Amino acid sequence: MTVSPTEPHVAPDRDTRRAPGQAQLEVTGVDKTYQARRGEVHALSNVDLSIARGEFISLVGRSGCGKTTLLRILAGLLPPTSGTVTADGESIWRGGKRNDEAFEHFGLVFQDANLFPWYTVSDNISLPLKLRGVGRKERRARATELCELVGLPGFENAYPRELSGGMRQRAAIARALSYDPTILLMDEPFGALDALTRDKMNLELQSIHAQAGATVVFVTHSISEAVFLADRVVLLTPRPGRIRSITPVPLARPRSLETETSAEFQTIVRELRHELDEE
Amino acid sequence: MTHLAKSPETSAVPVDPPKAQDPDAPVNDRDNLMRWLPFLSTPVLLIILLGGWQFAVSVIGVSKFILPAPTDVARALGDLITSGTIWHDLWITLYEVLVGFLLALVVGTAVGAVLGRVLWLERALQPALVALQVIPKVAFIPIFVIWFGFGTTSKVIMAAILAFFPIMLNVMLGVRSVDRGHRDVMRGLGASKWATFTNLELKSTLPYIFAGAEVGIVFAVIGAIVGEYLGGSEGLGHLVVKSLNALDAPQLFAVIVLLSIMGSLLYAAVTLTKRLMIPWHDSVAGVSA
Repeated sequence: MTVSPTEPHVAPDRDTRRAPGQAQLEVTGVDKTYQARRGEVHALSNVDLSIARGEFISLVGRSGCGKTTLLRILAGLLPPTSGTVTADGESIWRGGKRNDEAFEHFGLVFQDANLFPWYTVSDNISLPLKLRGVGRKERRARATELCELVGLPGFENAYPRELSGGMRQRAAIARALSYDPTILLMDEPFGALDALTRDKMNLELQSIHAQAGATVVFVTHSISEAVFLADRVVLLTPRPGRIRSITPVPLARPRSLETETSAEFQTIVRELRHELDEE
Repeated sequence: MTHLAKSPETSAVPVDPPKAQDPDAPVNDRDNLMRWLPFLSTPVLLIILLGGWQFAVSVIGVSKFILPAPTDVARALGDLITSGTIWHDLWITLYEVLVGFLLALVVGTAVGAVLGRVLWLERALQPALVALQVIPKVAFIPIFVIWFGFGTTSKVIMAAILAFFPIMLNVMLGVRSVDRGHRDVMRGLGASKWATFTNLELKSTLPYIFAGAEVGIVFAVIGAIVGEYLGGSEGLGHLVVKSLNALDAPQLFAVIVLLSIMGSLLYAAVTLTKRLMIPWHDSVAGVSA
């Protein structure tokens, strides 16, 4: 199952979606070192990853394996020490400066919903549109549409403090989807939710992914969640953070909670868990 | 002072019930009672206070020069209001408080915002700021009188200086307390500096500005009155001193009642503005789950 990091395998049923030789997101030789108080911390070492259009990638690994660091580099929130990241062929970092143009089609969802408490759900969801100069009426209409999509109908005028954790996270997803991103980066978005809500959110995310057709990079520490959602699971190991393996998940879509009880699903989960324990 | 003390947190104006209810939120049956409690408790407290006061005067027999009866104070208050000269003094004090407060609000917000953002400047000025803060500023009133005369200017400056520090310190804290996750959202969206300021930094600092302003308005009243005590020819503070010199205890008490009412109304005005400007904030929206 272990695959050399430099030759990422793509799930067979997804191969057709991938333009030959052209990936949407290309990570090449990315290195990240932090200057910490106790000297240098090597967070990421020589990470190569190529992600196809419409693909769903899960990044898994223990705490401190660099998965969040990798996501923050992809999101343009953290510059890599060396190496390049390109989106649609355009470099997202230019000489240590964020190339904002390359991020036009990026949507970000964080571990916390990070909704602005001073805005209603509707204004939060349509904030990216506001920044792009979309008119008030159009923003409002789009927000209503998205509330419907993520299962928050009728909550347009509620303030974030009136929502539960799961509802806030849905609103955050809606915000990320508001400008039809083609790349969705998610950092443990359901980490703070209870197991039942999490299952529900995973199913919803799957259908959103199918509908929106966006490329998704999803960070999680739950192996079963990673396998359930992904086309490929990227396993990272710490000290320094590097890609240990890339595992294709050839399970048919749409997947249901029953998928998790299938022998195929459990085999993949078991192998990944075994690999994680081997370190 | 009783007026000032009771108005802050307790006299909550009932807020609209949340438009959308979170099904997971705990249902709080006591919310309704809690909302109305101050409207019941305040009159009761006032009656106890006035009753105890009257009791002390007419039953225990405290000297009229030490504690005039509430009825005498009420009569003195009536005389002050009908005589008409009180309006001039009231206006003078109000003017000093308002101008001083607004000055402190503008300068305090600006200085607080700069010091909150420019770390090296804050570091460099910190010892000076701490020194200025711990100095009993009221001690400077005679100096201001020498510099700016017995008119309103010296009192305006005193009010402004007292109100400045709580506002400046709160704004500094507010500017630094912008949530990192919120910043990530704006950076992730490639937001411009101006968009980040209007959508995030300003909005998230507003509750801190109001927290500073609520303290600041109270301090401004103190500054103006103490200024009038020490070097004034008009204003309510001066009237207090005049009543004292005339050993007119009922009038002294009456002016203090007027000052308390003025202070309460000014505080209420700031709180009301806060309610209108930041209805989303926990301090306004009530107990959050």
